[in-house]
Amino acid sequence: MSGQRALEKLRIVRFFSQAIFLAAFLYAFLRSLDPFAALENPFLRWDPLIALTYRPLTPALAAPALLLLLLALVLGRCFCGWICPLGVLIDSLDLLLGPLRRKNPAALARVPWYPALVRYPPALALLGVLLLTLAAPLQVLQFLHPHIWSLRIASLSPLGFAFLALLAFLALFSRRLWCTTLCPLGALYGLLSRLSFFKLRLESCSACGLCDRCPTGAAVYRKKEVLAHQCILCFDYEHRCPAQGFRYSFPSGGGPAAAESRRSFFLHGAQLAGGALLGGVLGRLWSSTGTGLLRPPGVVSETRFLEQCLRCLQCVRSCPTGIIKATGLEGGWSSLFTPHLSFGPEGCEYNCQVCQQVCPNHAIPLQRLREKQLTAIGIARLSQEHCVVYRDGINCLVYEEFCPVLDKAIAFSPLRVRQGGQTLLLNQPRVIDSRCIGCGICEAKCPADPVAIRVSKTGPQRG
Amino acid sequence: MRRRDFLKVMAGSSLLFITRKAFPLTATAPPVVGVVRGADVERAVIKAVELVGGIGRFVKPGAIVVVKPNIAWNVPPQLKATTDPLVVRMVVHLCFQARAAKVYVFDRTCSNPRLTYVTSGIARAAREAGATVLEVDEVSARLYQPIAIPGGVYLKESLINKRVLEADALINVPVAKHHSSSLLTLGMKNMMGITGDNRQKWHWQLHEAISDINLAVRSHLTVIDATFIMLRSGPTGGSKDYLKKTDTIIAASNVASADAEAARLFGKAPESIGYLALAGQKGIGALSGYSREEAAL
Repeated sequence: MSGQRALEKLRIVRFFSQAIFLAAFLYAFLRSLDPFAALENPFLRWDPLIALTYRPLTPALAAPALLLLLLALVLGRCFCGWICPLGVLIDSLDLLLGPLRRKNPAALARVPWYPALVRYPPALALLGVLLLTLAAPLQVLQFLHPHIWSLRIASLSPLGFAFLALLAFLALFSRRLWCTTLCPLGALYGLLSRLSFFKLRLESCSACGLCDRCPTGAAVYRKKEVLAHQCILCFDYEHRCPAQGFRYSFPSGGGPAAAESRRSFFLHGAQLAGGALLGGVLGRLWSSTGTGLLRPPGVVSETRFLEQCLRCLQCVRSCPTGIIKATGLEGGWSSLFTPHLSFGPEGCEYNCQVCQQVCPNHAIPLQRLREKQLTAIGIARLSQEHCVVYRDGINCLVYEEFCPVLDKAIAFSPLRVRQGGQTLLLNQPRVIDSRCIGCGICEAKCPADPVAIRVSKTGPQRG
Repeated sequence: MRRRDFLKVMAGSSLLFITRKAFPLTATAPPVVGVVRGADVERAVIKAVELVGGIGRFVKPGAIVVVKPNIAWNVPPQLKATTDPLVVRMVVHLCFQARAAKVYVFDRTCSNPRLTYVTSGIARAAREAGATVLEVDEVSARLYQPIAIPGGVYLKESLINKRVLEADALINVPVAKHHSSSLLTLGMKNMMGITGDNRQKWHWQLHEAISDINLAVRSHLTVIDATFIMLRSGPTGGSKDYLKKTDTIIAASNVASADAEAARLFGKAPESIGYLALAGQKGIGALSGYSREEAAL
């Protein structure tokens, strides 16, 4: 594949590819809002960085991610320019903000340290931090992962809008500043594309300066070099090269910049290792504290959940009863944006496992329905002070009617009481701890004010 | 055939025709309760409704009908916490055979309505038969209207679904099952789905409340799904082991008599169920001594 005309054609193909993948992302997002779709978002499911959070990582789970890594090894960092939904969004922002940037005197293409930033992007260090904090309660992934941001933007959350504003601000300085300097997924693909089979190359140059328009700053025309770890294969300008110097082909020999390449390879490794060191330290410092938050059904270990949860909040969006809520800072930094349960007006449906089905990396384990129905979320505690049966001597029985557990986790002891001259049979409720799974339906439906039965996360977890 | 014979036949048949017209065979009123035993649910429904006078007795051409099944719990149909979708479908189908103008199917669910309508299979079955399935979870003036209940003991007034109040016929299609607080849930208990009140509070006086709501709104026809009756862990159930195969469909023009008939399937005296005893006292229907007819498929 070479020649200017072919490169121009690739540009058109890329446009369609981006449109298709953006549509696919939005479709997957919209479908995932329907609890009956029980859809795992394929963009998250196929993601290599997210795949690293699977426990255990089975070959079947890893396969799609490996396929994408292989793609980067063969073609280069094309994911960013052709598939990534956030990339499409950034490119679309450029349609609006590109003209402004070209007038901006502070645009990065004119800044002397910009080439160094592009050559040794902080994203590599961030990738290192991220890799080492994947198994720590501090999930750096949540703040850096492009697809999770895409989801936040698609769900029109305030956080998503804030990020969109940040992207718009960055667009005033360079077209793909997020992708070149911050995105760890991009950095991962970039590292692989250094070794990729196909590469974009600049073979002759007339020093026209067109390359300054490169969205990622990857085309360094003064050195007749294209930085493989930054090139997202956009083909937006190559066909306009007056020297017709661009070739996209497989390499022939080491090339003139072999020594340079070795040096940068070493430095990239150092960046990654430095980040990993920082990540290791951060991961150590950050200890998760028991928050006492009720987690979605099936989550047994809080620590493991905090390590795995991507904070994508897909469960919050998909839950048909709307009881899964996003956690703010009330659970500490390590629980930020994790899901927790807050019952009322409904509890956790006994015959529903939508959250388990949509969780992209099974942080909420995907169980068999029977298993889910036996796994405790917490345990219900009855307050005799508030319960109308104990307090007012009224027979209520709502709790038992709604209890979905086989044979009911709430029993009652009949008690004969004299009330206004006649004998009344009062059914005093109590929770059978061994049966209660803490689904919270009793809490949600309790007619007393204040609610007399509440689910809490006390005692050891039962399987 | 000779001419004389022909005339004889003609005269005989005309005589018969005239007597039939003057003294129709259906002069005796149909029984209050019809019980059909048989494994074919849909045919059992047809037969049971036939026994109590046929669908035409309850649904007139152009009528607006509300079919009120039990869609309370998000439990798959094979666990029988909700009415069999086939029963609902057949009842809706019969309504349209009687040339009903519109048939509404809904219930105010206990579990999440979105999940329950789908899981129970009823929304789909009812739509297949041509019914309009409504979501009635939102308690608003658009959907509910307060009515006074003369003779009500616990409920002096209640919010009732407007579709029920405006309908020409209300067909109550419950499932027969065990119920933790009211012992059994049958036709009268099923009427809790037409109210917009805070039903949790009703539980403090459940039997009075159930009989009061049936005093306020009459079911014109009750079709009880007793194909499998849930014996324990109701109303949610959860295990096939708690079901007893009884293969019975009960149709009745009186809801209390229908429930009394179903209670006997559980081996319980109707008077032992609080709200049924009250129904007898409040004059909603007879618990015994009503006319009944039984058939097998």
